[in-house]
Amino acid sequence: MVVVSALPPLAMQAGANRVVQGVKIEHVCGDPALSPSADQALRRRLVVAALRALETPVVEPRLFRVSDGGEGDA
Amino acid sequence: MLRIGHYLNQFFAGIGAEAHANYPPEVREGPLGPGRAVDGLVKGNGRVVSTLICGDNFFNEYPDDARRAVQDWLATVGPDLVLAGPAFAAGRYGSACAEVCRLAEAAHIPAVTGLHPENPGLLLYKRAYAVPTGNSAAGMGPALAAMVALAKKRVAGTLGPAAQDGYLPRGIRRPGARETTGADRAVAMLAAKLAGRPFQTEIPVDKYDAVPPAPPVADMRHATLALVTTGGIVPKGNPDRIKRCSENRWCEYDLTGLDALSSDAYECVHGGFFNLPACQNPHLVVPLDAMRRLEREGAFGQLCNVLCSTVGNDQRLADCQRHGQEIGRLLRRREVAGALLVAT
Amino acid sequence: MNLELGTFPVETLAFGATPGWHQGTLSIDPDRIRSRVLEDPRIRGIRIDRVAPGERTRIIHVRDIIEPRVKVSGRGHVYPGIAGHPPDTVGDGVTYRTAGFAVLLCSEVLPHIRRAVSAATDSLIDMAGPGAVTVYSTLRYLAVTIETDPGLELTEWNEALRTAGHHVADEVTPPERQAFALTPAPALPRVVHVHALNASMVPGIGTGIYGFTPHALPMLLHPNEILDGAIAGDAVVGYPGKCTWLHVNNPVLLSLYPRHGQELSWVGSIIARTRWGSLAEKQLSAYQTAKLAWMLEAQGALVTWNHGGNDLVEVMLTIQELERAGIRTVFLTIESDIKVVRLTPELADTGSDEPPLLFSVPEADAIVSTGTLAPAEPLPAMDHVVGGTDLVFDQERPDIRTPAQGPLDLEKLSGAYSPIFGHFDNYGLGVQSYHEY
Repeated sequence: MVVVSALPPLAMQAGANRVVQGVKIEHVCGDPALSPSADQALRRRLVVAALRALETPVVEPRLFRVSDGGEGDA
Repeated sequence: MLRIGHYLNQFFAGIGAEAHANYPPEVREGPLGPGRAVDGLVKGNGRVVSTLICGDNFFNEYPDDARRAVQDWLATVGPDLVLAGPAFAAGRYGSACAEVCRLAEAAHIPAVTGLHPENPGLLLYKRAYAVPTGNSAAGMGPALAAMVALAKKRVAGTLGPAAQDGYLPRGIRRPGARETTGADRAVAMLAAKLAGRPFQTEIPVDKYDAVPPAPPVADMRHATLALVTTGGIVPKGNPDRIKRCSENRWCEYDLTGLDALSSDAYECVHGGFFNLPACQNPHLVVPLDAMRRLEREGAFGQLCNVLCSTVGNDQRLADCQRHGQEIGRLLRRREVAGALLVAT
Repeated sequence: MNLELGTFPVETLAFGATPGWHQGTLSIDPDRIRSRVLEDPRIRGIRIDRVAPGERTRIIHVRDIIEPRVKVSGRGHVYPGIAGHPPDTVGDGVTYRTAGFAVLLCSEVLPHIRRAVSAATDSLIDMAGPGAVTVYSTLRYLAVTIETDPGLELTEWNEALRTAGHHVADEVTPPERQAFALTPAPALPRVVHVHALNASMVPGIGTGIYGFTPHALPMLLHPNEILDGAIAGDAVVGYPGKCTWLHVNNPVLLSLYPRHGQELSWVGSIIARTRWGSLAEKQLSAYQTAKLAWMLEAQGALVTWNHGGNDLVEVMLTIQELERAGIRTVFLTIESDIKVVRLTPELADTGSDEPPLLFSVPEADAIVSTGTLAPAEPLPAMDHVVGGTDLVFDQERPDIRTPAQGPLDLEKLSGAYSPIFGHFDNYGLGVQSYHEY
């Protein structure tokens, strides 16, 4: 399981082992201030980071950041 | 006359040191080793009537046999009180003492032990009544005295809070008054902290239990993934009346044939944040559009057609744990390999 | 800034044509109050009641509680920046206040506002019996129940109610004078009060500083500004007791003041807004708060907050930053996550193993807990109800209404969510706490 959260410290303290940094509490998976296509592109990068996290072995809580252009993690 | 049962490892029973750590459980009448000092401390009110000895390795390697031996001992001797150790910082001994305490409490017999605050035995049985000790048997005298004092309070039913009655906090909080108002106590605690005087925090900073990580998804191309949210995305009109706050249920919603969550058909009912953006575009919480696109591109096998949704606002921990178990069971039945949980 | 606070204790409340205070009796002219409030076309009706502690009265639909204060000399108007009062800086001069008395503002939330702001729940105050667990059950009230134009939009409704409450308080005016000044005390350890205040996620409402409600980076207030009403509540979200009365009667201020110049040197109150939406904003607020404290050369900090969920993240980050800057910190808090609607015998016996705080940092090693305020028994029927007739216990089912006068089993009606007004003792008014067993 991977948690997508705007507050990774909270998720990781609660025991989530794979956490992707979301945008903001009110809009974790996107940004309504962006144009619809930019918002969708951001959402796609977030989900791709989540899929990457699901495929990554971890031993303890780990934060996966959504990078700006590519599909890597921090 | 208080009949006391005492649990000791092979070393403190006088059998021998590490070489005898495989010593099988044995019951002896009366006190042994430090049990004699206990007898002295309770003279007139009680006595150690029986001692159970077990090697630390035996207890660790044959837990079922050890457990049975303890239960038989408790049933046969029928003590009014059990003392275990003290084990100080010894990990295996401490774990055994904690287990003995747990078994005694399960048999409705009060039990007390003595452990260094970092003894891993405390992690096995958080509810053990343990006096804090130093890390070596040099502190045997004070440790036994503290154990006996704590035991007397338990038996008399006069036990107060951990900080007051000298035992390690067991993770249970109960309402109770203090001497002065919260504001006065806060200012006094600050004055003490600034002056370098000792103070006692009223809420020990606690840790959640670590969750063993699941292994990674092995074959993403063929994996079934699921979407779960505590962000309160529900069908418009909230047919199941999910509460905006303090909800103790979760609901399943069918995603079959859905490529998108439109604002005509779905809304956000979470009461803990400004949810208008999420109502106008539910994908800001549940990224169904992106998931479907990636599904079509073959980035993963298929999307499970169930959205599990609740409002994670002011929920009780026990309810959250239950939700996790129930949703986990559902996803297991659907052969889901991995899940995205979007939390708000 | 030098503030003299003159206190007029109120033991009896009387209705009469000549308003004033005389030897513990406060006289109020209800007709004058009625006509003043009805000047506002947004207000359709007003009902005035006197409520005393110990009476078998249940007050419902509490929107705010306002302690009447008046500036006798010095710049500005008490409760500056709201209800038409000017925003001039306060905290200097002479202010009179009443003690043991307040104006209590009641109005049932309008249906469209109940839908839009789920936190605008129905609350209650029992003046006697097992439900009389908060400080609000010990005050004497002029209770003003207002009926507004039912079509008012949220910020208009808030404004109309709040203005009405303050106009009533302004009409009420009031020999024990107490001087409040932070005279320099260079030899003593410097202490800062970090007053974390929840900002509303809904624009235009919430707790305000000189009436300013939006999220903002931290700022510094002199405690006298708070005593003169610079921090005031709104008329929307009443339930956790974020009311105006509590801000001017904040026991942290009253605990710190006598120790200033004796054990410590109080350098001011940093107001840090909480409930930011992103982690970066939470961190920024925490870092700037600690930086302000450091620039004030604080050696110690007393941190309080007024509750929320994710608000605790920035409060804890603030504590962490303060400690990392070498500033010794104490945190005064409710047990935010032990949800108690009734202090059951089970809770007393077996206790709770829910974690008391949603989030924590290792640096938070000095915490004072104000526990939980809850009745030990279900609430009995009362003789009178002020503020309305029925209560809604489930914001999702506003069609289900419970008569307020009858007995109320709060656990059955309310689930995990107490409707008792002020049941969070955020600033440590009482001695109730929790102990670890």
